[in-house]
Amino acid sequence: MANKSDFKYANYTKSKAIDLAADIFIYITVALLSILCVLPFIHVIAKSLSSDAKVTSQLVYLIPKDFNLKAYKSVFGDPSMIRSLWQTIKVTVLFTALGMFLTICAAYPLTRKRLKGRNIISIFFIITLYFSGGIIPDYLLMHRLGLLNNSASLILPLAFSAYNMIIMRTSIQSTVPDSLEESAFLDGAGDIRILVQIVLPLCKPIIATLCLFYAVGRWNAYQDSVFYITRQPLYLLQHKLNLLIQTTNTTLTSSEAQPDTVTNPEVIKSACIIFATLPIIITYPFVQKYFVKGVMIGAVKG
Amino acid sequence: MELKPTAHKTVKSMKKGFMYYVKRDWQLYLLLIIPIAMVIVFKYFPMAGLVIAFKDYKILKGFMGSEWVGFKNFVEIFSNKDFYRALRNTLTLNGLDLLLGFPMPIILALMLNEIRSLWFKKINQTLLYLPHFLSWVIIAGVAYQLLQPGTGLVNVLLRNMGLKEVPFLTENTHWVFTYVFIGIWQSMGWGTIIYLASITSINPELYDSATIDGAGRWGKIRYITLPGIRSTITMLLIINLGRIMGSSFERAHSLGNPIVKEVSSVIATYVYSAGIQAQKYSLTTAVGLFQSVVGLILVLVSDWISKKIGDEGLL
Amino acid sequence: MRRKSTRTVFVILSLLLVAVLLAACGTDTPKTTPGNETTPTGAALEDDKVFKNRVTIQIPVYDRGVEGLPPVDDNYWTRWIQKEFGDKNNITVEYVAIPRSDEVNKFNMLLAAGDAPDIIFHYDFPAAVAYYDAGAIQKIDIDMLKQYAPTYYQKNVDLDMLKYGVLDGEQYFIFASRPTAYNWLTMIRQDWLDKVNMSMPTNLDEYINVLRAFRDNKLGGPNTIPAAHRLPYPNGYFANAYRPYPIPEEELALYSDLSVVALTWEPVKQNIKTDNLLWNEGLISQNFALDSDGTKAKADFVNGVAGVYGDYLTKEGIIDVLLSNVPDAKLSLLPATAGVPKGGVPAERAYWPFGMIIGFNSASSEDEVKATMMLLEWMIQPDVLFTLQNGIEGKTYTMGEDGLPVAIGDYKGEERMNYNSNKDMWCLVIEGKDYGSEEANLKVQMTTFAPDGFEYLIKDRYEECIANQKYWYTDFLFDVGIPAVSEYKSILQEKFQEYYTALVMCDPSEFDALYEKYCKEYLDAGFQKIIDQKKEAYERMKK
Repeated sequence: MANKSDFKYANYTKSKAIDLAADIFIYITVALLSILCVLPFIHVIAKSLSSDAKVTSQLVYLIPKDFNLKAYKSVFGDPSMIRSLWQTIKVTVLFTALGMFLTICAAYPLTRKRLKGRNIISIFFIITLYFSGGIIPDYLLMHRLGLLNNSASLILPLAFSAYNMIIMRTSIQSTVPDSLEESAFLDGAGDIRILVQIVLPLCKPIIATLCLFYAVGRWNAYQDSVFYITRQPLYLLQHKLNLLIQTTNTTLTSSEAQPDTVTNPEVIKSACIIFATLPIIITYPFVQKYFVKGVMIGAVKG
Repeated sequence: MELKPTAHKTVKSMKKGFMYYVKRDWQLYLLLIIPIAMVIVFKYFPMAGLVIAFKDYKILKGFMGSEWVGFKNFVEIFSNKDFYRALRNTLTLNGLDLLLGFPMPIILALMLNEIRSLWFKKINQTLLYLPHFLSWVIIAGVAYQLLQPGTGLVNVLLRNMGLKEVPFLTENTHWVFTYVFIGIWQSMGWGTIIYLASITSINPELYDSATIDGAGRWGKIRYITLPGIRSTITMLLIINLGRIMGSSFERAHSLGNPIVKEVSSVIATYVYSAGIQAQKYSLTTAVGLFQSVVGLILVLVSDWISKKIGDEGLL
Repeated sequence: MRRKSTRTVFVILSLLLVAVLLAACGTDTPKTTPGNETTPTGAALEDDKVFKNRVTIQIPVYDRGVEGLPPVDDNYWTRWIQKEFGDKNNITVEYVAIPRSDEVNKFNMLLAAGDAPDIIFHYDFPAAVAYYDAGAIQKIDIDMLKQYAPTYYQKNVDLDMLKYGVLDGEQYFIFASRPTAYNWLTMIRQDWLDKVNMSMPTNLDEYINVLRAFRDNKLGGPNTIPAAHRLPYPNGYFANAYRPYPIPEEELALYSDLSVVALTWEPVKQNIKTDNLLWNEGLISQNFALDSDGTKAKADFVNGVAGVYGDYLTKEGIIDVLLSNVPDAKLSLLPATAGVPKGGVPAERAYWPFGMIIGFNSASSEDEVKATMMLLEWMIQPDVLFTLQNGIEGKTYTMGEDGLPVAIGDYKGEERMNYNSNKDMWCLVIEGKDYGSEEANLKVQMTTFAPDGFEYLIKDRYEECIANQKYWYTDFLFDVGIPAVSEYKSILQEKFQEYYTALVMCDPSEFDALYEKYCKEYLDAGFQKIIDQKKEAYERMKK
């Protein structure tokens, strides 16, 4: 094992001092980048805790001015926001479960080189990454299937993601050696059994990652909700949010009279942004524990 | 299991051959049926709508009833100066994104991997991917507050330090780089996730033997980590190359302004005003078809190249 | 053994999925397609206009995504309408939520699926004509209108609005009326004027001098912006004060348009040139091009940094914020004449007499159209309209001493009003609140739009409008749609903003050359086609 003939490492044995310097550099850079990333959030939070007057005057930066919780009281006291939150959670969970199921079902067979038609099926899936009919054909399909104003329209069409499938497939290929499969075959196991008992446990990090991708992807997207859902109790949270922060009239229409009140005060918008974003952010720490050093128990040698 | 020597020998053997594979791998095919069915229904059925790229689509006439015009829509697009401007900008911005932005999550992931303090790592990871959750409308609002000339915070700081103001968002070349760097900022944290997941799949024994062989930190990265995530990198690179013709409407629209229209007009914004706003769905679909075809060709080409140099490739 | 059970499980699962898909594919058209109802055409009505068989109508209503309000298609007021109107006439009234920010796409999708509501509406004329061009609007039977919606019809006649809805010789659109509102105005900081000892400017030259004084005295601090300026709306640059007066009809027909700015027209050139001067001298917001929604301009004004600001006045959000930042601020109306160059007049675009433009879905059955007309007729009855606009006495409003209702702002009970006093529901008949007389309307507007103590701004604006009325113009009315407008307006609107920005921010010496260049590009991008089609239509009409 201790093969000192591996001289290629010889040049890379560093001294402790350079190691320490590298460490400091890394820590500082990462910290600076993190701060850079969190600042806009702090800005939005500050706005949501300020008075509307100060926000309209664009005087709020990182510290709330005229601190008050009125906006949050209003948002949390709005039953439609809470209902939308639960609705979105439900849809996201179902979407992630279905998505993972489909991804695994598609990815695993495609890793087996002996599968006849492997290339054709792969291309079949990959084409969907680049080609799509457009909003009107999609809408007509939902209409035909009777899925308009039905949460299924937010779950079924997008559940299978070829992008995620490719990631899964690549990951299986590089993580699970063929030798494992061979020895399992010799033991009399079928493909599905191998998948469930051997492959999946080894792929925990990537499964966690893809679950995160699915969940976040569904949580952030709202275009389909805008077109398929008109019953407000079924609106997704980001859909509601998007309606809020859109500047409605970008052209002058002298036919429409202007309202006597402002549509959505900036403060409310900011509070809604935080309300809609926090739930998904806090799921990450739960997924993180799967990103621990990989486990390869009982790996086959040689 | 012997083949009878008959005149139809070849046909029988072919048939038998196919059935043989199905019988042998029936479980794999069974697994595939469900995703294939979903994809056919939800992705391929609507693709029939692509046909309106070759028609003069009128809403009430429907797909079938609208008049066939062949390549007329494409001719119209390709003889339009604004389209070429949009095309040029899309390629420039996406190219720069790829060049400057693609390596960033990789580098960041490698750095994060080197951090031994667990709590420091966890906190920073959570903070780093926050920008991914902000919509471009919000990001643009903050960007303008910081970077606009005169009252933008950054420019105020520069002035106070005695330096000249920088037209981050109001001069063409500056705007391009601001656009790219904000994009990097927004996606680099999130992009590390997949690389970090890949890194954890690398056999730790490899690291142990490298340490024993005397490898330092950089050596391990170069000879173990990077090769270990090579397939992930290749896969993402190919997919992103295929997206080089695409564009994010929200990003370009929110960050753009009339002063830099010359560089901020991308295919997505062009389609928005020339296609969607004008209710010319045929045009919109035609442009989309063009983007898809180019994207697919790029994927196939880069896949072929990657196989040539010995990688797995996508297909 | 395990093998067999796994196999069974998966076979069952896949069969299930296939079954679900087959079932789903089997479901055909949804229950809400208009025209699917059981009412036979013709004599379905009995005494008192009650339908023999239940009719369902679908009415569009804007969804503006306002936080904290009940769903626009299912709330106290939709139920009230059903109870008071629908149930009494055997009609089911269904509301269809249309996102305000993406309405055209939404309507188009509904039309493509055969699912669109019985009314198809828009505030913009070219957009409404686009629906007509797509074949989505059916011809209106005037006799049917007279029979089922006499009051509504009469209103259209009295205000001479019907002619606007005639296309290719037939009536396709009817209109909601629009009482004039006097809330669009420009304010100037009177205390600044006092500080520099200048009187209110009455023409452009005086105005420029006032702005210079503001700038030189840094009345708003080191970053003083004499006049707040935003990026003009992509279609809203009319060069009113630079137009010839009286204006030749052909020029009006060719160049005065609510959809597309006439960049190549001389008055527009002169107006942009003035803006160029103002910008180069630092008299207007230097960063106007980054302010496409006007929030920066408003922020500058309420911060006390800017001295002049034009907008739709609202009770809250402008003056109150200004006073919280600058308690001593004093405001006056900036007269329209302040923007008028030598030889010009304070012209403005006269508001259309109409608000919402209403057409009937070509897929709607005769009964559905009749029922919809009945709804419009019912809503325009004074007592019904009053209730819809004001709510329930004691809860959402109280009666003031002068007999005019005063709204109770934050009533949160069940009967609370939808956004903007239910406007998106009664906008089908009228675009504002009408209290019967000009005097009464003005009084209510003063309290509605202006904060306490500043009602004089509305009053001043009203008097100014009356005084300048003779200079105001209405756009020319073509008897056909101009297809080039619908086709090119989005592209031209975008280009206008791009070219305007460049022209205002360039060095004055480069202006003329740049203007020539942009005019050529503008014409190539579709404006020439618009001019040609308009000219052709105009000449044909003049024969």
